[in-house]
Amino acid sequence: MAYHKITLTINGEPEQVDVPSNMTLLKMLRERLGKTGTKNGCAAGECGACTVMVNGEPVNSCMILAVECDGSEIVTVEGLSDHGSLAPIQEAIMESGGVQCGFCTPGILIASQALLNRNPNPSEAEIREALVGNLCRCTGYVRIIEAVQAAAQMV
Amino acid sequence: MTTTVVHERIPEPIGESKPRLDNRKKVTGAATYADDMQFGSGLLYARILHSPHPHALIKSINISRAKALPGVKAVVTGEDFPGFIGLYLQDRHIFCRDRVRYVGDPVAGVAATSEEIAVKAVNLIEVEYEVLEPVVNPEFGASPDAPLVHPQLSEYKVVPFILPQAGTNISNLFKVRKGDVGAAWEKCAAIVERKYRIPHIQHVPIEPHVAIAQVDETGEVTLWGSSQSPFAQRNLIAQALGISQSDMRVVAPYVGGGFGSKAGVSMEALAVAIATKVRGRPVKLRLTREEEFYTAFVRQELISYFKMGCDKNGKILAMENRFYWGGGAYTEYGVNVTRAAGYSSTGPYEVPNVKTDSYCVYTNHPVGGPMRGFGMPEMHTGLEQCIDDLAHEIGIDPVEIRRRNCIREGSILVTGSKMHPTGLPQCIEETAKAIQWGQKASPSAPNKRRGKGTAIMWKAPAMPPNAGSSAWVELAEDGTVTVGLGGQDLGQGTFTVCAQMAAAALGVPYESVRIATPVDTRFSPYEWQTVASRLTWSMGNAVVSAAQDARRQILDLVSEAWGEDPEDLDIRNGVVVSYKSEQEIPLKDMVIYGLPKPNDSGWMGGPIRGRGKFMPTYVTSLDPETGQGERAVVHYTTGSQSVELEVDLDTGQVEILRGASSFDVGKAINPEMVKAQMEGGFVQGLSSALFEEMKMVDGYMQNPSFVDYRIATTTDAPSDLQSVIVEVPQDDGPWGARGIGEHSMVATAAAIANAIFDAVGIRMEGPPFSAEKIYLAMLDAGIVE
Amino acid sequence: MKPPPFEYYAPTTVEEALARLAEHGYDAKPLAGGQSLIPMMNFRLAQPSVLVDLNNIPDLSYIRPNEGGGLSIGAMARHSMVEKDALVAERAPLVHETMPKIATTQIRSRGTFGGSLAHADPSAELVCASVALDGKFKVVSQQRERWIPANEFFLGLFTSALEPEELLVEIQLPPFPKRTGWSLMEIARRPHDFCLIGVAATLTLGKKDQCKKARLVYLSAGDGPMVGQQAAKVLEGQSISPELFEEAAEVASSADIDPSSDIHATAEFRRHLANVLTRRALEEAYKRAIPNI
Repeated sequence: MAYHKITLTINGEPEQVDVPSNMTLLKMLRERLGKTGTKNGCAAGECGACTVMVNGEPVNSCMILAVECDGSEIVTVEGLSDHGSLAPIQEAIMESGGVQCGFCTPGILIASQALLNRNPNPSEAEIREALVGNLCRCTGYVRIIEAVQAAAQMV
Repeated sequence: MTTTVVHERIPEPIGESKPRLDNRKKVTGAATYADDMQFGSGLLYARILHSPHPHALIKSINISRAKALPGVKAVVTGEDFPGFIGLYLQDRHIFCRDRVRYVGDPVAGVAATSEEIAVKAVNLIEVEYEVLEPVVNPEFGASPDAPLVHPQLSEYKVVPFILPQAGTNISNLFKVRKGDVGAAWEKCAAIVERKYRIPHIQHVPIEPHVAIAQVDETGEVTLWGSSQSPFAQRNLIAQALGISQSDMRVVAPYVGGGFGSKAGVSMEALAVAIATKVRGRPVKLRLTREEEFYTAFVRQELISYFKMGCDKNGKILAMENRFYWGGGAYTEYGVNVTRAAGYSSTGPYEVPNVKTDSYCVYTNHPVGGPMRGFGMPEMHTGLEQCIDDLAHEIGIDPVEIRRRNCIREGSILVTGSKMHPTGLPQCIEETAKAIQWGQKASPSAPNKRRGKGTAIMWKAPAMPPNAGSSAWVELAEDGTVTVGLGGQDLGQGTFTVCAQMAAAALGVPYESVRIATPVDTRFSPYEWQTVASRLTWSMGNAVVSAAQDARRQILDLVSEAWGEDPEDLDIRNGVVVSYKSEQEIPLKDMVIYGLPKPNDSGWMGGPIRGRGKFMPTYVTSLDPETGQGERAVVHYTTGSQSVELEVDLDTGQVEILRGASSFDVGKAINPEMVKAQMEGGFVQGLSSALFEEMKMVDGYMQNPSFVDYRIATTTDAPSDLQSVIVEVPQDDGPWGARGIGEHSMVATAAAIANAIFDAVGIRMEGPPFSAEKIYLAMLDAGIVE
Repeated sequence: MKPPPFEYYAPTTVEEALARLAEHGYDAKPLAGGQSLIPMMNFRLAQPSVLVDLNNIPDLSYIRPNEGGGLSIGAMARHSMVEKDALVAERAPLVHETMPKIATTQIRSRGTFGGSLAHADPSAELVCASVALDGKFKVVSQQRERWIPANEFFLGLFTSALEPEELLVEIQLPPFPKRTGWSLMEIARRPHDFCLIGVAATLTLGKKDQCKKARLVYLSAGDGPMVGQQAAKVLEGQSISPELFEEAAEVASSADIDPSSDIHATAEFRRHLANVLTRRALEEAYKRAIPNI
């Protein structure tokens, strides 16, 4: 089977990876690059746990092939903080109590950051719409939504 | 409000909403879950061949083609593992031996060098079945006409308080006979009789089950997995394999949600069994989401019959309840749901005359296991609607009938024991106030109707009478504290709460306390299981006791060194202080190296390690014929939930506008985390009320994916969700605390059903209350044309 | 699970892509956003041996005004791009309203306008909206170029008029007629789910405010986008009234659609919901048509 050499940046760092055509971005991140912060909850694009940013847009990394990402800029949860200094959305979700088991948290953080990037001051309804593809079974979403609102104020 | 326990001083940081200990790891992606662990190139991948039939005999299995496939390292079947496994009732083999009992039952397992090869090998295994008639309805399953799912039931090993009925599908029967129900009906001014049907649903943690097992050359087993129950897994898997518990090690990293699905033993045993055949190499089994739906624990289904009556003042005089729990193919764990429902069968009401029969029935459905609420949401969903109907029948406001009948301190409970102090009456007032009970707002559109509903609940930790906890507390050179414990943080925050309790009991800042993770049965102290909402109370007691032990050792040492009475010493903020001499010494200067004896005569003390344990000692057995006994359970957490909603008359759609919860948690060690449990539970309850159902047709699940099995998302959770904490202390809880994790979804579905009734006057047999069901019910009732 | 192995090509021009498709015929599948294809491959419901990735063809991602007031959307324009586009909002308000209702943010980031149409899922919003708007699809192969009207493009369940060697490259939407209102309504168990039933509607008013033209196209109501032809006959030429809408809803829900029963809803309930949605959508479209006088 054909392998493809792709070049991309992950959290600002250039990477070159040999990937088989049938490897998803999720699998490459977790199994080739050790970026295990991105989680696999369903592998069908339904739970959002594997959300990463590709060229600034939030996507389900289980629904993109790694080869498709040749030349792309990827941001995972590991890339939200900068040398130990956390992004406002990370601070805010810790403060609001929006983390419980933490398995959906990486995807929620990426989807929220992507929302804040395109809409620095989202309404509650806009936040709910933006996160509708991120399932959380623990929190009831209340504190996650509060965190996004708080992060918007912090920026 | 009655308080029996007076705590002279609530020390810091008890009652403070400290941030989660694991926050930073979880928001940076650094938290390691089982699937994130690295096992190197020796790792083998396991796949399981599942039964395609709900009920069949295995006539033959041919594994030769699978075994011959290059890259396949082991193919195992039930023949390899004769042992039984099960928590309360050992009714399960690791792999099926002669019979399959549900679609998804494990028939064979493969370990191979890649997942692809393992999948291929599984497809090469040939199994010949003789298909049998499946049992798909628990009420029919309990009848003598039903085919037997477990013909050998009478031979299974079982704990004393579970009562299987030989020659039937009834794996447990719990009976209550209290007072004289027959005579009581004549005194009733109103009687209602209802039937409800609660479908199977599933826990749906976002993290699927993962287990990695390795067996070394000496036969020592290590299991890494997403687990609520490392010690129970150690015990049960060791028993099934016939090895010593001490040769079975379970390591449990972060858990991505459990809700009961990762309690006891399920798929973990498969990974271990396969690993025994490939000594030295780790074997990883990870369920796909589809397998999760087919093969992980499900919540039992329930067909329930209630009959209840009250006098003209609404005082409940009698209840007669029959529960048919659809326990699924194996009820090793589920039998205790039946028991819990029996000893809680009146709901949180004082009822003088009670007759209950709670049956656990084998069916050819997926395995019913523990799920958040442990039978209480299923039972209360019917019971609390029935109470509402009784209120309407006698003409009393639904909140008022609950006020008049709810249990209070000293109430005689269904099992004959006396109720401990409880804040239930206050919880009822809190949610009524939050939802503005009695005031009816107008609907947002002419085609909508608005309604409010309330439901109350109780739930005890359902566990063996002697489920124990233990803990240790150690200090490091810098005076920081590490707490060893064996319970698991599933997201509910138990590590944070235990760190707070250790800090308070020892006298150190919260920030200096760590938890020894991951939980590892080789090094962590024993804990029965992370279930039953029992950790804050039980493991908390053990942690406090360990911290007190360490504190005592420290104060004894310092008092000896200073020649003072230990009573004059205290530890504050990590420093030992004397109130008498006003001397001070930071912990870091003495907890490892001790202190010098006077006159340079040597040293005393040494590394400090506190030990603690807790086990309830007062739970008694119950009479098998009457369910009566001195003390059935350790305690009951009680609470109330209310909702306001709108029903669309044209479409039957429901919108939840507001929700309110109030629970008596004894003492909120971390109030914001308590509220977070109330919110999360409310939304999970809402989800079960409106969306969730494992659609079973003839034993086959129809919706094994997130596309077809929907759980609540952001747009379903109401933005107005209030949570009110009530604190009536538990006499043997740490600072009075008792659990809250599971209780928060017990009353939700009933409150929603009652609000739908308030809005449009209809009742349905059971959730999910889909638009179609509601619309059809409105049609039937003539509310719409 | 991961997909079975396949050859992967990433052409940078349409010509190159067409050459690959011609070379491999039925074995090849074009990859647009992949938001339906990749999960189908993950679950092995689709097993193409060749994937022709269109994501590197910049020439396919655009939104352009056409003379006379319509617009053209390149097949690889992502949903998120169309959602935010001001020209779409102005010239194709029904599409603008539709976009945020499609799936989730993550899927709209990646999914493409053309990919969604080529997938021909009868529960897809854009499938029905494109029919309601009388869109035209530009389809090319190495041999030929052809334009297929939207209402002839969708042949059945996940089946379109596309031949294996053909690519859908552009969707043209005609000028949005004057005095026209629109609506896209769905009822799902949860918002953003595949809907139980949905309708894309346009309503054009004549000089006397009568219904000049009506288009009702139903989602999840049959094997393809179901056009409310008989309902349109009821409406066209008539003066607007609640009774008229009711009659149209009655006809549409009983005669124009062919929903089936599944685990989520019965066919009967879907018909009932279609009835409700038809009235609501027509009312909304009418309100929006009025200010355009």
